[in-house]
Amino acid sequence: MENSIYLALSKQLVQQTNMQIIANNVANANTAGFRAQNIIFEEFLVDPRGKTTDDAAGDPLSFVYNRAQYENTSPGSLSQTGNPLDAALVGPGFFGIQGPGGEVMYSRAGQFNMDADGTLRNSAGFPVADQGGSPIIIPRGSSEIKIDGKGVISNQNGPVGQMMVVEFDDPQVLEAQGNTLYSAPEPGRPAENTAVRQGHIEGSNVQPVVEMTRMIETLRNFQATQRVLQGENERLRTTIRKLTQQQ
Amino acid sequence: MRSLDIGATGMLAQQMNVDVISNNIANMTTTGYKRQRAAFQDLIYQNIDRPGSTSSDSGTTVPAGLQLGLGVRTGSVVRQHGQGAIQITENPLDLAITGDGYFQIQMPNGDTAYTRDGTFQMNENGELVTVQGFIVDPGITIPSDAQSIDISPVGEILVNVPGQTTTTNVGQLQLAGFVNPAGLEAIGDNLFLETDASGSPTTGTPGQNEFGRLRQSALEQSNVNVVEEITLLITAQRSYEMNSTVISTSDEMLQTVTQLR
Repeated sequence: MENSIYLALSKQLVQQTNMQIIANNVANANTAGFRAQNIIFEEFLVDPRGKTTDDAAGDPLSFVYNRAQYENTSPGSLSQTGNPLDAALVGPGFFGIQGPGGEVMYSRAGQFNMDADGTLRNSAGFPVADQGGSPIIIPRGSSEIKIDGKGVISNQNGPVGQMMVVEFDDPQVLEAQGNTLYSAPEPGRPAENTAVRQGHIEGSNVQPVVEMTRMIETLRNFQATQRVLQGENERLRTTIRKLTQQQ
Repeated sequence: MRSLDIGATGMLAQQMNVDVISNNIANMTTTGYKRQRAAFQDLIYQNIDRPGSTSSDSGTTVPAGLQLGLGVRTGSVVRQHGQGAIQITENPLDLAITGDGYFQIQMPNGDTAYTRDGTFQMNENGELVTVQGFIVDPGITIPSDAQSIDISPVGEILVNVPGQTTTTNVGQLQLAGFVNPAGLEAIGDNLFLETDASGSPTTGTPGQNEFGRLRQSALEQSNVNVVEEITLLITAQRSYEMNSTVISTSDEMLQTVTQLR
């Protein structure tokens, strides 16, 4: 089959994936602790048909495919809420959250609440992990809850627990699992360059202007590729018509 | 085109956000109202290429896989129990709580409801009741010939009766506290009910332990900050528009496809 059609098709497929990632970024523009994703395209080289190794003429055909996506790790904007159980991270770290199976997962979202037992939970209801990975319980009758820069939670009688705050050498190893939770292949190491700030929430780091621009670019790329396909289709039709007329 | 559905989840979430914000603004002058906040979460991810999958025969692995998110959802709408501003009134039966705690209200069906709204009045029997006529628990009856009513910061109700030189103590108000006040269920009329999430109440005297003090002839206003709400409203509206742009762009891409031939 004609390669040019498949070349164009490969581009359209990745543009569609790109559009999905942009749509997800825009949809989560107001999700606390969400990190925008970007896509990495890669060339995939194929020798054209009939080309031999000693053939000087003819460069390889270059298809495109979506290699991977990566997360924008720049910090999101901090907004002040005044809620004593809101915590934002300044620096590259993550909060430890006890996932559905009791395993430790990681999150940047710090909209925490208490349940009826005083267990500190995130907005999806998963317990916030302390340094040993078990839940933090704030005793009944606590007032003046303070969270210091290292994540130590204290009430009027003194410390009641310390949040797990960890860092990763390469944050790209984290795998998004929804609910603004990430899983990691290896546990993170205790944070050194991250500070916890009480009464603040980190918003998403989605930049609307960038996303809108990328969206327009994606759309126009998609349409331009469509023209190539149409042109190729015309060319084939004309070829077939001319050849059949000559018989 | 998954981006169509993703744009739709974004619009739904922002619509919910505007609903919550508009309810806050509508209740900005409601006594004892506590503002709410919607918290959003990303939906599950679809793994096209798992991070860590091998990319060559010699065992090299991809540093970051290809994971496609599927949109957003509203995780929870949480009530923020910060203190509202105190407004001074002339009514001696208006009470504000400065600090933690709720008034207990006896509902007509026998349940106990909880409120921060201290706009109390007397009914025909001299009992302390809410605006709806529900009796404040523990029940307090004020003598019909009482001349002045004093409610102390710790909840003692003292009245002056003609012919007596000293004041008479006619009752003691109690407050209820919860481990997780955000888990209370709002039933309207500024009233809340206990749920499994809030935990069972502990009762106590105002000013003791974690309970706040009472202030007579004052009311607690809502803790809605209008400037903040309007800012959130603008953000929500623009996010809504952006999500609709995502949908129309996806639509345009689909239209391009249908023109292929």
